[in-house]
Amino acid sequence: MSPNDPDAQPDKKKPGEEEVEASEKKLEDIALELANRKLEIRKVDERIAPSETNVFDK
Amino acid sequence: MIDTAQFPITLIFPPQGHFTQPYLALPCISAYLKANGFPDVELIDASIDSYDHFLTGEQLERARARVLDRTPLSGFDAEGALGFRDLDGFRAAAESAASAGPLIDRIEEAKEVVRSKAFYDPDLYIPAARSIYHGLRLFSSAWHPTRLTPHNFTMGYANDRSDEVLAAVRDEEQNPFISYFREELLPKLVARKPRVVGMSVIYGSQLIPALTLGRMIKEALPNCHVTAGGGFLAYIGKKLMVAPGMDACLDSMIFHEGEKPTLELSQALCAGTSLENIGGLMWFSRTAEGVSAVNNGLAHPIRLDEAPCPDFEGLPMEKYFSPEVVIPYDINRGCYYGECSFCTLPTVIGPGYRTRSAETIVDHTIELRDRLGATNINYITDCMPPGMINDLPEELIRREAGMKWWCDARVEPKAYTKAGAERLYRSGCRKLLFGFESATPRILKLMKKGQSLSSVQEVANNCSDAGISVTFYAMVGFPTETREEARESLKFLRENSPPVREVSLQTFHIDEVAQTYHEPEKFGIEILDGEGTDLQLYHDYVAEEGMSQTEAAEMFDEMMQGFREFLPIFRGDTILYFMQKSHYFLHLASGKTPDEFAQLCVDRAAAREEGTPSREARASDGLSFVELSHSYTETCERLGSPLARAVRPDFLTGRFVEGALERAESELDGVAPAECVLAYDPESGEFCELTTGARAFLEALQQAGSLGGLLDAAGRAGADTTALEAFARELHQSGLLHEGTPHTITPARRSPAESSPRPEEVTT
Repeated sequence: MSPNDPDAQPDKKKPGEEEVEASEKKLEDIALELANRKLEIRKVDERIAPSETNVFDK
Repeated sequence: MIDTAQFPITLIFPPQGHFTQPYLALPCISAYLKANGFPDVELIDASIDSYDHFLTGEQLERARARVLDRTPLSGFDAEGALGFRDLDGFRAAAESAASAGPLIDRIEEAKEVVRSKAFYDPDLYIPAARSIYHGLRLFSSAWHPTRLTPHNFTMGYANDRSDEVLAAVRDEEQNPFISYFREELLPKLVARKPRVVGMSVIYGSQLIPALTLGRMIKEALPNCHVTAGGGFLAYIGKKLMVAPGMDACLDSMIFHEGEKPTLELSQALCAGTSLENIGGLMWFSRTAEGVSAVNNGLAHPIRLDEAPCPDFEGLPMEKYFSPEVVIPYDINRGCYYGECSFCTLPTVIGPGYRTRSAETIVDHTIELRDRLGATNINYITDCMPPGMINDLPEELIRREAGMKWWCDARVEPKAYTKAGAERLYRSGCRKLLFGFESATPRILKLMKKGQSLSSVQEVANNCSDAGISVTFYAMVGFPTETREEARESLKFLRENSPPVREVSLQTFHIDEVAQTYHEPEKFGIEILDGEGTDLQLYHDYVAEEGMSQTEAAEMFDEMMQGFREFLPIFRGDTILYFMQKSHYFLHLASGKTPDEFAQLCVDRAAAREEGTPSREARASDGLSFVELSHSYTETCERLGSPLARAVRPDFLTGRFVEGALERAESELDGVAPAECVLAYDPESGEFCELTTGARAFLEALQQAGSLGGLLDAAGRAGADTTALEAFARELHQSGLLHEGTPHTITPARRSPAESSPRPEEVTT
């Protein structure tokens, strides 16, 4: 068994899978919560200020 | 007598002018001085130098610290409504808190994009241009209420009162140029010890910075003669020279064209002789009895065709915010037509109309091409004279100049024929800007434009058919013009787009040189004078009929909104190409047709407005959030109303509208407390206001890595994803979702001799 063999490091692999699972579960929880939250975005109407449209002179 | 070779002269373009290309006056004067025995002439563009300096990570870090010190977000009452006086400071503090970090990290890259071949990729250019705008907003926030934008510099001081101007010159708290000059420019001048410093002041936005610098030079170098000239001073110079205290900032002022007066001033100072015989000069006589301003009267104009080729040596070509510098060159001075009742430019440029020959123009064009490695030129002219419309392109073609160019023009149907327009295109002309002004014959007659609508259409169509992009100058609010007449102009422009690709719109202003000022009864107006405005150039007026000034400002907004709908370049964020002087032209010069560029704009806007994000769409890792006690959007909307805009100094005039602040305070509602989140996306350069739920969505999207990943997670959890998908579309439209990996650029700075850019060298 080489030190690089994944089977030689069972302790490290197992927590990784758990982490992934936990992370996925957490994301699912967040996504579920988001589906019920108020999601709004407001963007400023970026009208060019009148003062700054005569641009060829300045 | 001192040897003229040992007589150092420094010519400075003070902030603020636009940052895309150099200005012409000082290179003309430099060449003239060198041709007449003064070899040691230094050119400094303090405007581009200061933009470049302020837009660095180090300086933006300083700006962030200054905002936190002067106007922290915590300083605004979180419980009560924000009154009008608080709004601008709140906006500045909120934007700074959200964007400072990302801007500090990315500002150098943004400058690199607009200066390199990456410029030609809209996905890189638009966010970079936004970053530059936002960088200047961050910088300005640090000096609140001062504002430095790509097109203007204003402070909380009026430009038309000498006591306020002089107070601004000494205000360390609000004038950013005091420390800039002290740290960056003055040490270099002190080391060089010029005997003459000449400053070119062509805009009102330069007045305070120029006088700031003049005062500092006079204090640091008492033996240096400080003079100033330029278009803006041709209007107000005499008033400025007799204003109390101005002698602390200047020794003299030059009126109209600067070549001959600057030469004669240098010769007199070099020889130690009197200044009293120098035409075009007004100067301070300093005697034991005191200081008095002496006006020598006007100078004879130079013979333009004999003037040397402008000398740009010493200007920092690599600093301008363009991938290729577009060289300005004047083919004539004055205006051959000279009749338009609103226009006063010919009277301040100098007496008479003078032109260079086509041979001289092309000689100089080729000389500049070879000397600077430039392939693009902006011919400076009030309007191209009819003969030249034929002669110049023929000479450019005959000499195989190989340049692309643009210039202002007057509607001359006999010159801009189909054959004439095709010849112009073959000679390299890619864009022409015509004075359209109005679609109402009655108004055109009052303006003395001397052109018909049919000739306007004919000329525009001929140019457009030949492949030349057509821009119209338009005006709203000319005395007696009604709303209906302004809407007729809008309708005409809509129906003629194309051939019209851009419209440069301005509201009518009255200056003291104009016919409308001297003969107000002919235009049905009464001129109003300000109180204590000893530097007043522009005047408010009351119209007996037609739109009032306020109504004209409202109509301006309506027309701009119309342009945004039917001019492709004005749609969405591609309006940034229009806003940056030669940037649209550079695309035309690199081979794009006006139609191709318009399609690019339409496609880009459609992708944003109608597109649906893919499952691979992602949120930027660099998103930055800040929680606010009041709505950012409401604050900006309130500040964007015409009433609120009137509180700031006017763009053209630099004036404050009397009573505007009080009126805005009483008529505009405050902004009530409301918890929200301000997001800044560094990849798109967009600010957006979010609910806390929307912020959580974006953070979840960052965690999921893609929209598909987040929707799948929601599906696994049993959630209905309809609302999430709908919200993702909103985020996409607002520029907060991205497809593909983040854009990066290949650092490839231009060199002066580099040929046309190759957009394909941009990598994503």
